Amino acid sequence: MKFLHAADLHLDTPFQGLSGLTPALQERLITAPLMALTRLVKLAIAEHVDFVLLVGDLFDQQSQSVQAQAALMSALEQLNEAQIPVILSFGNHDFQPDLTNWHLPANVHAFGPQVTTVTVTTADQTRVAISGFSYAKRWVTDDLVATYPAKAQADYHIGTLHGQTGVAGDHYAPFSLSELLAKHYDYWALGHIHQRQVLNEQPPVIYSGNIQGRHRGETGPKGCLIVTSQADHTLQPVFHDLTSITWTDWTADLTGHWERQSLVQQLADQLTASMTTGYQLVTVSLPATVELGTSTELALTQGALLTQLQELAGEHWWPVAIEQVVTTDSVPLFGLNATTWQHAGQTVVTDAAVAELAGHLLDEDFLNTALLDDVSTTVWQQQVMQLLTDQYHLTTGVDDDVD
Amino acid sequence: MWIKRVEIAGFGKFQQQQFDFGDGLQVVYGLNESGKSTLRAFILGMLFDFPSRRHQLERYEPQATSQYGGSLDLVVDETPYRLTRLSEQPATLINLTNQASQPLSLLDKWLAPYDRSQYLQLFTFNQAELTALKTLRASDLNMQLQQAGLVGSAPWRDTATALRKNADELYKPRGRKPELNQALQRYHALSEQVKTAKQRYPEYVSLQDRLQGLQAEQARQQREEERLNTEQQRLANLRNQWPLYQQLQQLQSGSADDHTDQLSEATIQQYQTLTTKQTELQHALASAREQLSQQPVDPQSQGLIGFYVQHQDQFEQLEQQLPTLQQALGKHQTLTQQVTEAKADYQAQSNAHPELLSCLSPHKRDAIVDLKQALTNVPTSRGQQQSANEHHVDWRLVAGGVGLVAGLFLPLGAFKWLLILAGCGLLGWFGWEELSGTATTAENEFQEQLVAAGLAPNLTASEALQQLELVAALQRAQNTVTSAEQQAAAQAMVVWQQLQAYQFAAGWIPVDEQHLTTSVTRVAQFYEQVRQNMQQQTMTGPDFAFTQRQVQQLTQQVHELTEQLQQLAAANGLADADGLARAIETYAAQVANTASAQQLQQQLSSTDLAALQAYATLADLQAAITTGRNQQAVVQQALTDQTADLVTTQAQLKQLTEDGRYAILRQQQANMQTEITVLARQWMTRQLGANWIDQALQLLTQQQLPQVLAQAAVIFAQLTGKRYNEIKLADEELLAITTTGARFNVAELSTATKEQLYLALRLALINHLGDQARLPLMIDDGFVNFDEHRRQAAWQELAEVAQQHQVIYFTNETAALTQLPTATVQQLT
Repeated sequence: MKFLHAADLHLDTPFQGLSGLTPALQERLITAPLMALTRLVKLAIAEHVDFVLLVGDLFDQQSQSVQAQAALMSALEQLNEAQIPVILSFGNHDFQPDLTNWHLPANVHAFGPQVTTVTVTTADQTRVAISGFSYAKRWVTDDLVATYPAKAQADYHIGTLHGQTGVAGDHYAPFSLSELLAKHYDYWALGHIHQRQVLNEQPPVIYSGNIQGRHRGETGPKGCLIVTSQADHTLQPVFHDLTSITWTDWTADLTGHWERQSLVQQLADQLTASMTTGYQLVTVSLPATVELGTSTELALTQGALLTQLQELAGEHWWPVAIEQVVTTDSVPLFGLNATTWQHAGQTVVTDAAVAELAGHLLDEDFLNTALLDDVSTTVWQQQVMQLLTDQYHLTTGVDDDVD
Repeated sequence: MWIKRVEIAGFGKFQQQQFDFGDGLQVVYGLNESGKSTLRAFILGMLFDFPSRRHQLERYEPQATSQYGGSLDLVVDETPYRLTRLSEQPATLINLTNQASQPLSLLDKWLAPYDRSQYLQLFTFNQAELTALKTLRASDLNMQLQQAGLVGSAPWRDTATALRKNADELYKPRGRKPELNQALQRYHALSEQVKTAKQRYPEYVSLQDRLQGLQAEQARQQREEERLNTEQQRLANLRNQWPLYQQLQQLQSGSADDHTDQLSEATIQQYQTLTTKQTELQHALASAREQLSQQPVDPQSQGLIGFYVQHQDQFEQLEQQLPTLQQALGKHQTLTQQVTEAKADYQAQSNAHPELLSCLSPHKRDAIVDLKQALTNVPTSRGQQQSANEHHVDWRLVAGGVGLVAGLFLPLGAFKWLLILAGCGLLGWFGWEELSGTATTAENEFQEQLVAAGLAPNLTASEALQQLELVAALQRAQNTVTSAEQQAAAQAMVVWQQLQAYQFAAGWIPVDEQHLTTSVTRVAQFYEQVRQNMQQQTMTGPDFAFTQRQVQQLTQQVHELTEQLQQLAAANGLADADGLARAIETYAAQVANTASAQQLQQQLSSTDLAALQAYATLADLQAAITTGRNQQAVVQQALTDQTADLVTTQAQLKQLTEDGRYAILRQQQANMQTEITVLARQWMTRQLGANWIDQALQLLTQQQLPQVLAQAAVIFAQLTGKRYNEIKLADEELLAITTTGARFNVAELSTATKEQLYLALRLALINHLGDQARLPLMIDDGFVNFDEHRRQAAWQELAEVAQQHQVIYFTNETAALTQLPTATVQQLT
């Protein structure tokens, strides 16, 4: 008995945190999630799986993307033609208050808001019971694991759940691992967490992760799991890559003092050398051992360095950001008055101050997140400090830049 | 830095003049208009460059000479330098020790971080300033402290300025040009596009629904089409069966109509046996007769008998009717006789009265009737007339009588003559009528009618009546004739009808309508003859006799058979053998019908039959077929439309799903968000950085402030003769506190005290700046409001300050010449 476990397709979510894209790359990125889905279908057919599990967040209900839905329908149709049943559920992003409007192909079973069980009989007469539910609203705050039935009479019983561990009251169908294991199912197919994660080895309780990373936080290969039954009745999952575009964090191998031009070139060379397959969206980190000139540093913080590096992008890599590892040694500039400076900093660099300064910029949701949620006060202070140092040097002409 | 020497080539009123100074307190004494301000302006101009030609007044253009400017000898860190600014020539700075030319930036370095305005603010004060002083705020002081470059804050301030400048280039809350503002505008435009593109989703959903609906509808219509096709085939099939069915119907209805009792098989058999026998017998009879006809000897007889034998049946029948015929004839003869008699009678009458013949004409008939009526009515009418006349008479008689009497006896004058006349007239009229009237009228009446009736007009009533009776008799005679004739004719007809039966034997028995009697006689004669001949033949030939007997026998047998057949027919309720024959025929036909009906039924299935029964006529079935065809056409049209619809919908869906714009726009949106985030963060860090600097500087200066105030308090105390010994900061306001503890706002102080406070603060500030402010002070006599005592104290203070700075004190106070301690004095003339 063999099946495919995938989740969090997020077919219509764009790639975040990118700018200055070439048209070719943009094109590629836009089609990436759909390509991954196509590969999923091909894989399912090639592996002759007995059924496919899709555990939530297949698309974003708010986005209302026609292409995404059409692609999903097309994929379901292809699986229908190959006579592979699909058992899917809707998650917190693609929650469905009303399932009746969906014209799903005959092979697809979509779970409703109540926990239900469906039984699939495979070609070799193995009976597999699959339990699950869909989100009817954005949040599901009850612990629904209790309503999952006891292990059925079937040969295998699989539970699907889109949510995360937590306590009742949390927003995403909170559950605890022990609860899941208490059901004695053969496999728990989880969704919602985009990072592939094994909560338990046997029986497997696994997050399959999403099929395509969309921001720098989602690094590493992304895909789905092919789960095969073994002779001893256990289920063994194997990861299969579905995408060629992956996010990577990469630290340059550099020491010493570097100036802008040579730095950019060096980074490009190193990247080309180390990225030889697929397509990597790279977040470049400069190690603490690297020393930069002031104007270079300013170019770094202002993004000019990144733009230059993007021009040198290679066949298998694209730079998303360049960052410097933050050193904790204090700036010697302020000398005796360091405490006063610190004190001033703490008064000036606060969330409230940021909010007040931002003013109407915060009308944009994403800016609200970007300025207040994603950056803590400490980080602000560090960044401002860095800037002050650089700018001061620039203003006073202290640095010996040769640009 | 201190100024050693001032050499003016041309400036204001000065021309080729020099002044030498030393370090420390320098007094420049001059009365009004001696050039104190000019000198001061020159020094300022030399240090910070002269004002441009735009500020004409401040330029102090010399009137007497064309040269402008001069030189300044400065001592910095014990090294003398010469600064020269002359007319349009570039300024020069020369190290006087080694005559090395120095860049002018060195001057800036010495003067840093003060520019002209800052230098003025810090290192110069004059009375005007002091007068303008209203209140002192700590922030002003703070500002001055900051500007004074406390803590070496200038680079920081520059940094802050640079940061703010960068920030403004990036973003202004209400700006349009800065980078972030523009990016935000683009972002909003893009978001609008995204929103518009998003609208396609409901379209997609509705198209999907529509597609589903159409597909379901199409399936339904296809099923309908199939159903209709099957139906049409069925109907076509039925139509093909219709002729059979019709036959069946006819056969069945034929047999249904026939009310014949089922004839038994026996009857039929019997009939057939009988008929067969009859036929045989008849054949035999015919041949016998043939034989018989050929038997007679003489051709005439042969012919006659032959003929007779041939038609023996007929003849025998007719012979039976012969008596009837003869009777009829007899009757005819009687009638004919009657006719003759009637005619004779009539003739006799008409001969008697020929003139009445005309009265018989039909036109006259009516007139005669009228006349008759009139005549019979005469007595009564006369009676009536009389009574009528009597009545008539009555009124005329009465009226006449009355009139006459009235005329005679009433005294009416002329009028009575009139009345008399009228009365007379009436009476006369009445009398006249009485006499002449009735008879003639009566006579006149009848005259007309007599003529009309064809009688002589001058007959009397009784005569007329007599005539009329004669006429009537004539008429009766005529009628009798007519009726007799009619009867005779009728009877003749009857006879003739019977005779007509012999038409077939016209060759042997000519019959004639006109000669009925003769005809009948001929008939009778014929029979007689035949009988005779036959008898002869019978007697002459045994064969003939035999044959005759045979014929008779056979005839008899035939009769018997016919009888039997008749009986059979009667037994079965039929009128005669023919009827039976017909019945049997019908029965046979029925059976045949039933058989073929059964056959047909076998060909028609029960379902077909049942279905066909639903239709009364072929036309109905045809109509049903036509209806069916129409329905088919409708459904096919619907299907075509639907297919077109489906194609359109699918095309629309395809267009929607292939439209990648939404995804592109959303990715662009995400990219823009990244860009904007970066810009926003950059802006934020810069703003925060600038604020940080400002805050830090503020804090630092605030830390310094107490020191400055403390020092200022000391100086203030000295200046005020120890009246005030503390300067405090309460919120933003400065307070002067006396030795007794009384607090005074700056505003509450007297003008002089205020000025002294200000002086104290300024001097304290300069002292505090220490190494940061090693520049010459220039004081333009600001102690006018001070009293003697306090002026002394002020000068004392100046001297103190002069120990650290060069102080150039411009004054017109003569006391300054002598009372300022350790001062070098310059006198301006």
